[in-house]
Amino acid sequence: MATETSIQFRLSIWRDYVPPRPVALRGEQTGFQVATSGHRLQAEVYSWPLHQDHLAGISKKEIRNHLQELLDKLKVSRLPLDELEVSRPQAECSLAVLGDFVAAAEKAIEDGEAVPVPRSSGDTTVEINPLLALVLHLKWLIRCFKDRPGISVFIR
Amino acid sequence: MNAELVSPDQAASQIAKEFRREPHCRVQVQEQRAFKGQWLCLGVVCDTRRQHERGGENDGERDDDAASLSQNTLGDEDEQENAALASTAFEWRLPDAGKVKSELASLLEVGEKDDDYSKIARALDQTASIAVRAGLLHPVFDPAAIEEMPFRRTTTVVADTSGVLQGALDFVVRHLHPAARVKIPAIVQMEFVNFADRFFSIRRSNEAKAHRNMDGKNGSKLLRANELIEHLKSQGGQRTLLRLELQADAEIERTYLLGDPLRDAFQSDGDSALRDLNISVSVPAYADRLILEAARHHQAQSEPGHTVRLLTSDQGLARMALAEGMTPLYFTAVKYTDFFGARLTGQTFKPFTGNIHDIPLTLVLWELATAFGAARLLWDDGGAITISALSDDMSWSPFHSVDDLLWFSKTEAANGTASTSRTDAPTARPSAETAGKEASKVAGRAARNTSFQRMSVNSLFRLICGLDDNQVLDAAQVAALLHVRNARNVNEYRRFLLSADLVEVDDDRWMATPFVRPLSAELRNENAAALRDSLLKASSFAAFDAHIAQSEIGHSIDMSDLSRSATTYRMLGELTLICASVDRKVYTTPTHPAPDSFAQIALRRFRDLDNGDGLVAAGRWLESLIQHDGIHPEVARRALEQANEEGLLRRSTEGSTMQTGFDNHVVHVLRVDNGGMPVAKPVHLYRGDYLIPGKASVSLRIEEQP
Repeated sequence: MATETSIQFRLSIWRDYVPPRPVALRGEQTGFQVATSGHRLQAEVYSWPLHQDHLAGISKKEIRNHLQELLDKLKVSRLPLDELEVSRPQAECSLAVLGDFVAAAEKAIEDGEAVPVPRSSGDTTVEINPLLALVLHLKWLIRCFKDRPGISVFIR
Repeated sequence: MNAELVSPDQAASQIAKEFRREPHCRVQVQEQRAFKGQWLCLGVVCDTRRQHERGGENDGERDDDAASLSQNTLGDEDEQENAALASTAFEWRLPDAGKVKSELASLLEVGEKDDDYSKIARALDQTASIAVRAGLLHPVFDPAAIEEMPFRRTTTVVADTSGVLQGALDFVVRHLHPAARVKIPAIVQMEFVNFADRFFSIRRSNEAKAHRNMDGKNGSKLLRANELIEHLKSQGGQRTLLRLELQADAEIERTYLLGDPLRDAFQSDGDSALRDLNISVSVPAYADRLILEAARHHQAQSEPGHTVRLLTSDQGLARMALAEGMTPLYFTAVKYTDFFGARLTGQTFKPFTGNIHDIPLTLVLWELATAFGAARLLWDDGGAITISALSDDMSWSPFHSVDDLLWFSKTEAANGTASTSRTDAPTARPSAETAGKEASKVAGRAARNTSFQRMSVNSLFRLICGLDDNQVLDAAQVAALLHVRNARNVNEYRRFLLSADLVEVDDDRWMATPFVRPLSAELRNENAAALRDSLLKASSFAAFDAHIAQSEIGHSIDMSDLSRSATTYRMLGELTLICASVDRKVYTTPTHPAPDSFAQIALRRFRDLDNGDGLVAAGRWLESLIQHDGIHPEVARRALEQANEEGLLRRSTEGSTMQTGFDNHVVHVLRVDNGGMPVAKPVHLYRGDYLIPGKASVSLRIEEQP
C-alpha cells in the first residue's frame, strides 16, 4: 500500500470560498483578522497523490528538465496552509499552467520520448507509462474544473 | 463459424501469445448488418511490454524483468495469470475523429447531405462511452460533485439510463464504492429492454427491406444508422447492468417500479373508457419522473442525514432534481471528439488515491464486442482474434452472462508463425485411432460453438412445404403447421430457416426465399443427397455435417455437445445419409461403393456373421455394414439390389414372421407419405420389412454368383 513517504507529489485544487458566516483568521503576530470581502479565501476541493515517478520513462535529460520546470510553476514549497502563498496572482496557478504541462507531456509521448517502465505487482512485473497515465488524469481534471471560476492548482 | 465460448482470462492468454509474435495490431469492430459484413477500424493497440522488450533487448535489468513475462517455460496457470495481468500493458491509439467519422459514414452509406448524417456523430458518441464504461476515460463530472468525492459518508447513488450508458455508474462502482451504494430503478432496466426491442425491430425490418430491395420490388431505405445506434445503446447498456450485477463486487439494489398503474411510460393507452382522464397522452419525460421518484422514495425511507444522489447527464432531470431539493451527481458524457485522436492506456491512475488501476484489454474487447456485435484484433500478417457477441448462428444462455463468456475465434497468421496456438497439431504423428479420436474432438469443439435447434423433423418439412405452397405465412399459419403453441418452439424453426436463408421474417410474416422451392421439391422427391446440399446452408447443420465427416468409420460419434438437439440432427443426418444409428450409437456413413466393390463388401460381411446355417439376420448385416464399412442402410439396400440385378452376387431372403425383438434398432429414412408430404420414416432394421419391399426379409442369404 502506498504511503505518504512514497508520494512523488501531491496535486491539490482550490476554489474561491465565501464563508456563510464571518470568519476570523488568527495570526501569531497580527492577532485576529476578520475576513472581509476584500480577502480572497480559498478552500481545497480536490487532493491527489502521485506515487509513481512520472518522468521515469524519459531518457533525455532536457525533456525531463523541461517538463519538471513546467510542473514546478505550480509548486509551493510546503504546507501548512498559511504558507500557501495565497498572494500569488491567480494566473500563476491556474488550470492553464497545468494545461501547458499536459501539452508538453503529450508531445513527448507522441515523439516516443516517454516509454513504459516496469512496475512490480506481486511476483510479476508489468509495464506502465506513468507520464501517459498522468496526462490522462490531468486532462480529466482540466475538463471537470475548466469552467469553474476561481480555481487554483498547487503542487507540493 | 469456428468459435468457442471463452472468458476474458482465457482470451487474455491467447492474445498475449499473439502479441509475442507481433506487438502491434489493429482494433476493428463490426455491426454485422449495418456494416454489411465490413469492419470499422478503431485504431491501433500495442503491447507496450512486448514493444519495450524489442526496443531495448540489451538494456540491462529493466529488460530482464520484462522478458521474464514472455518466457515459455511458465505453467499454463501461471501463464494465464501473467497473461491476464500483462494484458493491461497496452496502449491504444485512436484514429482522428474526422477520419473515423468519414469511414463510418462510408460504411453506413450515408452522405453529408443525408438526414442520417447527424446520427454518425451519435453513434461515435456511444462508441466513446464504451471507453468510459471500460474505465479508460472518466466521465466529466460537475466540479461540485467532484468536491464531494470520495464520499466520506455512506451515500446512495440512484442511476438513470444515461448514468448506466455513459460510464458514470461504472466510475461510481470502481472508485466510490463501498461508500457509495448503488440503486438502479426498475424503470432503467425497462428502458434497456425497450431499447433492445427497438433494436431487434429495426434489425428485422431492415432485413425484410433488404430482401425486397434485392428483388427490386421496393426502394425503401434501410435504417442502418438507427440499427447501429440502437445496438450500441441496448446491448451496451444491458451488458453494463449484467456486469455490475454479476461480476463487480458492488451490490446493485433494485428499487420499486413506482409506476402509476394508470399510465404507461412506453406506449399510449387507447382505452376509450379512460379517455376522459386524458391518460392516453404519452408523457415523454415519464421515465425520468419515475427515476426521480425512486430516488425521493429512497430518501424518504432512509435515516435522517443519509445522502441520496441522482446520477445523470440529463440536464432536464438534473434541474428537476435540484428544484425538488435533491442534489444531482451530474456529469457530461465524453464526446467522440475527445475520444478519437487520443492515446489511451490500460494502466491509469485511480482518481482519488493515485494508485494504479489496471484495465485489461479483454475488458475493452468485451465491451466493444457486446456493443457492436463483434470486435477483433487484426495483425498485419493476417492473424486475427475475433470476439463476437451477437449473430444469427450464435446462441445465448444465462451462463454466458454469469461467466462473462463470449464467442472467441482465431485466424492463424498467413505465414503460419502463430505456433503457440492452443489448437496446434501435436509434434508426434498420432496413430490412426488416436487421430480419429482427435479429429472427432476437434470437430466436436466446432460443433459446440454453434447454436443447434431442437425441432421435430416432420414439422420442419411441413413448414418448408407450407412455405413453398403459400410463399408467405402469418404466425397463426406457422403455428398450425408446426402444431405448437409455445412461441419459443417456433423460434427454433425460425432460427434454423433464417440461418439456411430459407425465410425472411418481418414481424409476424414468414416469407419464403427462392431457396425454398428447390428444397421442397427435393423433399417431395425423396432426394437425400440434394437435401443435404440444401441443408448445408444452415450453419448448425453444416457444423454437424463437418463433425460427422471428421469422424472415423467404426467409431461411435459423441453427440453430447448437441444435448437437447441431438435427436433432431441425428435424424437429419440419417435422412441425408451421412450417418446412421446402431443401438442408439451414431456412426458416420460416408461410403458409397460401386456395385462390384459393394458385392465384395457384402459377401465379406455376410461370411463374418454367418454361423454356418447360411442365413444372417438382415438387420445384423445392415448394422455390420454401418459399423465396419460406413455404409448407410439406404445405400446398402440400393446397392444390394443393383449388384443382384447385375449378377455380381445372388441374394435371397427368408422369414415371414416379423422380428420385433430388436425394435430399438431404428434408422430414419426420407419418404413421402400418402398425402404427398415428406416425412422421416423410422425403419426397424430387424423386422424384415425393409430390405426388399413387399417381401419378408428377416433373414438374408448372400452367395457368390457361380
